[in-house]
Amino acid sequence: MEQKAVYGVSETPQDVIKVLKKYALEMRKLSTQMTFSAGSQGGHIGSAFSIIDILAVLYFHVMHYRVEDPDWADRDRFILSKGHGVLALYTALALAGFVLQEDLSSFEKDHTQLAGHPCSKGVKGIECPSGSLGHGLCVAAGIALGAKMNGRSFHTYVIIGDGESEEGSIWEAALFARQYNLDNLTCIVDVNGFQYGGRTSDLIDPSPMGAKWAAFGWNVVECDGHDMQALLQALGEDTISPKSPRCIIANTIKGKGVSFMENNNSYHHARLTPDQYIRAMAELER
Amino acid sequence: MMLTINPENTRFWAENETMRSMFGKVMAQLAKEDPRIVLLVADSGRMCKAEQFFVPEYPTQYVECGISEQNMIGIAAGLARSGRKPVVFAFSPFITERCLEQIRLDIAYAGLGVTLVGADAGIAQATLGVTHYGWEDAAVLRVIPGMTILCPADHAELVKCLYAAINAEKPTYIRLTGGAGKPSAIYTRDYSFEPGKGIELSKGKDVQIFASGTILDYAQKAAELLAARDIDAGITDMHTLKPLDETLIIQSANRVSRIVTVEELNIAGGLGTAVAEVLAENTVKCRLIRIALPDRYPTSVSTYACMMDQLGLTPEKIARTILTSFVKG
Repeated sequence: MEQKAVYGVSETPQDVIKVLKKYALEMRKLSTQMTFSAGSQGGHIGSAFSIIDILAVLYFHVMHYRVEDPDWADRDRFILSKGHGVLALYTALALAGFVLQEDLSSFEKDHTQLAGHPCSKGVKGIECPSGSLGHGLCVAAGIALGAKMNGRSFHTYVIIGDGESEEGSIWEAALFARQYNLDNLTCIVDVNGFQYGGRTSDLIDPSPMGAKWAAFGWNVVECDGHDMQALLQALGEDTISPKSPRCIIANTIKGKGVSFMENNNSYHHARLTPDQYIRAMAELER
Repeated sequence: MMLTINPENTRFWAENETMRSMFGKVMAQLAKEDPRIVLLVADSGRMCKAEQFFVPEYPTQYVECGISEQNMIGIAAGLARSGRKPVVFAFSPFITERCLEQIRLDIAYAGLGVTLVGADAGIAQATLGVTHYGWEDAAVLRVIPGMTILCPADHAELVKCLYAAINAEKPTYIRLTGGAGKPSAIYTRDYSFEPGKGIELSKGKDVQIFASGTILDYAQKAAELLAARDIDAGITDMHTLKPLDETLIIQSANRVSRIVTVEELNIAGGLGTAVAEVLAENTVKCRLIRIALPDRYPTSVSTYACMMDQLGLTPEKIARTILTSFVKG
């Protein structure tokens, strides 16, 4: 059986949103535990929190996949091009059933399969290695082209960062996807306004993001990247336009979900003290 | 059969085909035989005559990526993940160093069956300038785990390399030397080819020359010149730079007093370096002479023949370098 919407019996929108929020909350809690458990290794918790709601919508409502058959030929593909946000991916894969939840505690420990960036080997549900920025969209475009060549109808989703958009290869892929009419490809830009070194606007300002993608010939949808209803609409089939690749500009908050992490770039990659961990978990539990 | 290696075909290729145009023709045949094969180019389809031989017949197996090699590697990775057999073609520095990290991560680390083909490797671009030289292309890829690196000596071997690479479904780089010229035929009849297994074309008593690429023809001519000076030099076609045929190197090293490597690649990191690594780790008594491009860029450029002469890569100069080692003892 293919998996779509593991949210239970009722599918009324309000119930859907409620369940998706529950998944997102659980992903944030697991990510916080993993970061704390990683000790001095730390984790890219802020970078993950900005995309967790997006992954919750993708994995628990939008995408088609089979947990028991991770290589199912018609599965929708997801590539986390901003691979440092991997806590969001591991926790989604765990809640979906690809990764055992008890294995999450091995994150960044000796001999782990769960590295600080997705390394595909040995982890079910991860399509390709990523985290060196600017790669994922190119590979995703190749997969989308391959789907067209092979007459497959699955969709390929990729998340890139706004800082990552400084990589030239992103725009090479953007040109390519338009040229080949890859309407089976969706690029979600996580516009959280920060990169490792500070505010993107202070480093190399990629704004206006939507106008750039529109100028590259993509079908652009802009939304609040933490509003489940908005994400469901943006990622719905109604916004797919024939022959155009789709770009979703998701306006997000880095560190979303824990007050002292929000828009605080020291949580781009952080070690959590016991006090920070307790406070974060308390906020999430609330 | 168009690609059959026989005296008639190989004579025709030597008279009419550059390695680039031969590549385009072989690809058309491969595309016909296997619909999974896809040829990707970065505005480089015209220079291998793909636009003439390939595109009209197999348009759905052709992907023009435009001038964007980094993206092209990603596209190739995506296509390989879709069950396709991508062959990616561009000038040698652009298909290797421009997109090195994409090759490393998206192809090699991922372990995908993608064949990269670099045209005009070495100094084939001559007066067009160092920007287009494949000075260190294969040396750079040699340090990437899991890569197979092939360098055919002539048209026939290019056919062999392409078939082997596509069937192996491993990350492979095929380095085309010989440039705009038409390489002489080394092989005129069908022969057994296996990546990683060098071919001993002749067995020297004094010297064994390991040559990589179309420069093998010069090495053979150098051996003839050495014969006139009573030095018996044999020739080994070292078509595979990686994985290296260590057994064959050790066997030769136990027989001759000089192992010579000849290649149109930077002396730092190429075949000479690879052979040195093997000799250094084994108990052998022979000397190693490495003949290659120097580890410094040229300060001026010339026509191909002039540059090869200047760099000591003509048959006469290769023979002289080897002879000198005997004179000096």
